[in-house]
Amino acid sequence: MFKSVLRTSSPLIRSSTLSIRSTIPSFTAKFSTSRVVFNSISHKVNQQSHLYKYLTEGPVSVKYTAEHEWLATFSDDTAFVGITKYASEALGDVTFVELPEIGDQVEVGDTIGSVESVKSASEIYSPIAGEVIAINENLESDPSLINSDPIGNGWIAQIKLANVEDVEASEELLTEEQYEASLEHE
Amino acid sequence: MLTILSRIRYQAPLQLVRSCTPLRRFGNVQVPFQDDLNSMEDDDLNLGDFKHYEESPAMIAKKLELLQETREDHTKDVVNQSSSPEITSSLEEFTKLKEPVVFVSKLTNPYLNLAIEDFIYNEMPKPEITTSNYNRLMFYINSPCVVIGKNQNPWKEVNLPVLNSLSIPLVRRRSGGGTVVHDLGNVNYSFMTTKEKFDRFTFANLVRDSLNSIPNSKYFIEVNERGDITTSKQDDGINYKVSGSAYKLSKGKSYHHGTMLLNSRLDVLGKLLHRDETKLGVVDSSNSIDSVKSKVTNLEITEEQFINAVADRFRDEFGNAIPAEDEPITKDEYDQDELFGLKDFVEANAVNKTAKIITIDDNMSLPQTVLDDAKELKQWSWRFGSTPKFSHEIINNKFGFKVRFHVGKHGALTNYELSFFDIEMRLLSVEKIKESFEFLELHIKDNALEYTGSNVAGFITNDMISDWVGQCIDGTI
Repeated sequence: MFKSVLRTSSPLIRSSTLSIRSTIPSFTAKFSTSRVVFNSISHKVNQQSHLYKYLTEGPVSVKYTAEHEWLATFSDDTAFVGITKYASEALGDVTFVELPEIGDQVEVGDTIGSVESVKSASEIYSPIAGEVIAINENLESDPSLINSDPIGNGWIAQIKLANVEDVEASEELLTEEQYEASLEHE
Repeated sequence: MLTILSRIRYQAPLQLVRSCTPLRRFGNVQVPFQDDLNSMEDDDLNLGDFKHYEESPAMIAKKLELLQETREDHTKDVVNQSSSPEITSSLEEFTKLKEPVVFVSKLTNPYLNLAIEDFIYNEMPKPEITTSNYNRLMFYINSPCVVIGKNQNPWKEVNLPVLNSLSIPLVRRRSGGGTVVHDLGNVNYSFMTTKEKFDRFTFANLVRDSLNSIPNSKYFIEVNERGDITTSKQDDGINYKVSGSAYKLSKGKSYHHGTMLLNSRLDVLGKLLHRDETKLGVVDSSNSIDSVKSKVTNLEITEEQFINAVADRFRDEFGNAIPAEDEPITKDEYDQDELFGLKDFVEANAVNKTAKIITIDDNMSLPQTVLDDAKELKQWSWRFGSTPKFSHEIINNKFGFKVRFHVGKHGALTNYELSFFDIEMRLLSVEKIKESFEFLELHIKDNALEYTGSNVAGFITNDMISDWVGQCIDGTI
């Protein structure tokens, strides 16, 4: 047992110091609420809420998909994903939310979870490629957040974008006007 | 709706002899008897000599040659077992058809049927214009099994000790909803359409109307505000449920599937779904989906009656219109019908709507995806391991203690808590009881232990306690 502790601990220290030296600002240091992080470069007080920074800052852009997901991109090249009000109303009372796992690598259109409501399981797809860096664990104990605040506290996952340009380049991501127009046809 | 049974009817001689077994599948038309008759019957019917029936080498060679031309990959099977089911078609030929199709599975393996259902669903093409539809309807009957919803907890919903003692498999499906019991007296239907067309009532209403069109049936059927298919209010004031349904929505598509109780063993059903919490313990799983218990009854009609009635109505409602009189079927469609040997069927059904009916049996080859998926559905990690985290508290009144097991991700036991209460006579001291759990504690500290009765019991050193724990978890010791 001692052997294994020694073996794993030394590279761990080495890698963390290395990464801080070479890549500042390190992304993990800024946003991992769920992992142990050394040497945070953020001097702001740690706010209990994962959303604290994002609440004060506001998104760079908000996009929608034809599958009724929303994507709010922030200046740190991450984006929050959830389902739209239209979808949440169509689903009815949400009784269970299946979340992705932190660290999952997702491509556009990959399943990142599902929502169960009134005996139906509905898949949720990732509107963008990247890595899942946070999930909304509040949904596990309170799935109804999807109904009460789908485009806020009902967020599902936060994704570190693989390519920031994807958001503007994608033809599948709709602006608010485009999305609203698409709803009128339904 | 002749066609569903047409396959069987062509084998008339056997059908006459064994008409008492409607579920029997006739594997191969060309080989006369296979194992359908036992040796006693051989004598009765003067068929003993046919036991040694073999096709002439020339015939076998000719068949092989024919098969080789069309289906190289199946040659090996044919060589190895020239008297076993012959592959006559493959599922992929039909799943991509751009027209409404009814699939009737004659297979009874629940994992295979679920995998086939998913395959048909995933392969279903989406219509380019909203006025056309490529809807699918599938029927299947499973050998006895308990099927839980995607987000359910089997320890909570099912009496696992009874399930295991009957060697009945537990299956987790990919749609939402609650727990149902399948057996050969229950027919499952699955209606697939686009996501835009999804609603919970369309198909429930269609099933209701088809059932009510069956003459002399025992019950008048209704659909309640939840979309459940029930009998009308009976003398005891209860609307008995006859069908449990669940739904799945994914990109552009949706399905509504459900069970239909025709002649199920309701006594077994009740035993499998009833858990005595004082004996088996309380499963605390606030995150998972709870089943809604309902009074159920059998419709007491045959599966043919049910399948024919629903398929007929599906055809009338969603089938393609057949142009009247002068059959100016487009070149494209005409070719397809001929290719699949279904030309006769299309022509024979001179009604104004048509939908292909495809029988899935041992003669049909299944794509590798289906076989792989069936294997995946069979994994413990999916059936049990994908349960949201929960705890399970069992109380031992004989020894005066409680143990609460905490089960985390992947169905792994993460830790446990022991608590003791006063009893008149302590047969085992508190220390002894604690001691018998020490090995378990040590093990789960470093290892993921799947939460099964035999796994957990295996690490409890006192035999009386370990047997009891195994019994409470799932009856395996």
